[in-house]
Amino acid sequence: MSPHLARRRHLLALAGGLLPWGVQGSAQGGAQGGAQAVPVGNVLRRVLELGVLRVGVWLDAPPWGGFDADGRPDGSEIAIARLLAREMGLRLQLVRLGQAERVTALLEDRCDVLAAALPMVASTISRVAFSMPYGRVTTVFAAPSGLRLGSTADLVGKRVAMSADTAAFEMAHARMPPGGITLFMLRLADAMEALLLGVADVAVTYDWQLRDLRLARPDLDIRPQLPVQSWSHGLAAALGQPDLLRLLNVFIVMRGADGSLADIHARYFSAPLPDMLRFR
Amino acid sequence: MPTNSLPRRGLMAALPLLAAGPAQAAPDGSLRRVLDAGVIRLGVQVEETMAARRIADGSLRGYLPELGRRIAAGLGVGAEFVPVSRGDMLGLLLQGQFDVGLGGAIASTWLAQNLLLSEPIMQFQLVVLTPRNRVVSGMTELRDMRVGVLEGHGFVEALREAGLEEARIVTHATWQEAAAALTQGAQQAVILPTHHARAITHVAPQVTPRFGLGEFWHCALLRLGEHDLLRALDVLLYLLRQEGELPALHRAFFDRHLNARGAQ
Repeated sequence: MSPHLARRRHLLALAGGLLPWGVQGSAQGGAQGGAQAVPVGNVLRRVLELGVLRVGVWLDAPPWGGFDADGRPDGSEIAIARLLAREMGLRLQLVRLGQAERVTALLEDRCDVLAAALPMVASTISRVAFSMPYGRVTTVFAAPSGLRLGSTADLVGKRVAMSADTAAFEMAHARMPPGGITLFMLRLADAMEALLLGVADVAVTYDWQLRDLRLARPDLDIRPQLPVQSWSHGLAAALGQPDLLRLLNVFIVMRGADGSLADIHARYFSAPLPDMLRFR
Repeated sequence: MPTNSLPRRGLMAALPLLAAGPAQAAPDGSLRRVLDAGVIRLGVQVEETMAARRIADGSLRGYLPELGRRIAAGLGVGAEFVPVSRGDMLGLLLQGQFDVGLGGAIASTWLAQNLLLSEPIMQFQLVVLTPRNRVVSGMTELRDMRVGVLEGHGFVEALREAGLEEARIVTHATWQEAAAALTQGAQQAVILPTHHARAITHVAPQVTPRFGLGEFWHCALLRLGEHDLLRALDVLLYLLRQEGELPALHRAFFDRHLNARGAQ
């Protein structure tokens, strides 16, 4: 190794090791706004001592979290939670959470880990410690191809159906121009149904839902026209738990590399894992 | 004193200031301990393979010692190797006998409950070896055989996941013992990491590799809580990987790529 190279490595390694804002530095910041974090000590140690892993899940968001035909919790995030607990040799306790209480539950120590499709966006990354991402979600304004949407300005005068029960709602609603007509729906499926029935001109939906629709009804001419937002998601732990966070990352890397995560993604989304989330 | 101690001392001097911010992580002391000692103690499992072996003068050679020397150079400290017997890595590391363990345990979620795992440092397959006159081509054909494996939680776990019944597994403390069991007919097959398999076929040419059971990794191992040292290691490994030195070293010793993405 050349002296120059050795010195450069030396400096960078020290920077990585000594600077407190290094790789896991963000995990040390305090909670901002909303619930305050409850001091809990070393969560990994506690989990191992108790033999129970409490995973917060969102069961109102299929295919990430929902119920199977027998009424048991099911979904891609549930599958990942089960795999994690099995690998750790722990009993899994699913903690059902509403969409809006996912972060709060973690901060209040009602669960040890979140597997709840929590988006990695500014409002969450400052409050919880995310693992490496293993999922990506894109929301779109969808419409028949006969209706050309070049920008959100083209939504003026259009009836846009969106479900208030989705993470996409806030983002899509914020992008609506004055003069756009928002139709509030109860469920995600209702927004698409409104579009198909002609009650709405445009629907806010997920990329995977459009793909499913195309597979089931290739005769329908509904296209993604304008992206709303894309975000990644992964497991989440409370801030200040670097041992636990490292374990979660090892789990994701190992199960990403052996194809387990891709299998789960294929099972619930009928599609391969996006390239950027592949580990090999 | 290491020749590149000036930048190190400069950074060390800045450390209290850097750590003073209210929202910043307090240093855990692990990296400072190594830098102050001027030496990093590296536990290496020595099994007379390409991964690590002892030569006549008592010093260590092989992939892991070479990597250890690069890690030490990157930190600007000396490398002190602590030879470790199979099965002792985790216990000795937890006892504080060395700062970092190299090899000695298959990377897994189970292992990460007990130790911190760095970026992957070594990649291998588990290979099924049989005598040349006993042809097998899949796991189902091993069902009725007694199968030898090396001791260790990771091996048994990996084989269980691959569908091999634990009851048929016989564990061996060394690859030499596994080779003897295979050549003497005590077991009909043994399953070992690639580098052990290569060592066996070298001394027992009547044995041949049949198929692999997937990819596995070794990581550098650290005690829980020692994240400063872990981050420094990960940065060094990242640089070694980006600059091609780590892949080249891995290829030179094992004739195969190191292509796993790490847990950083």
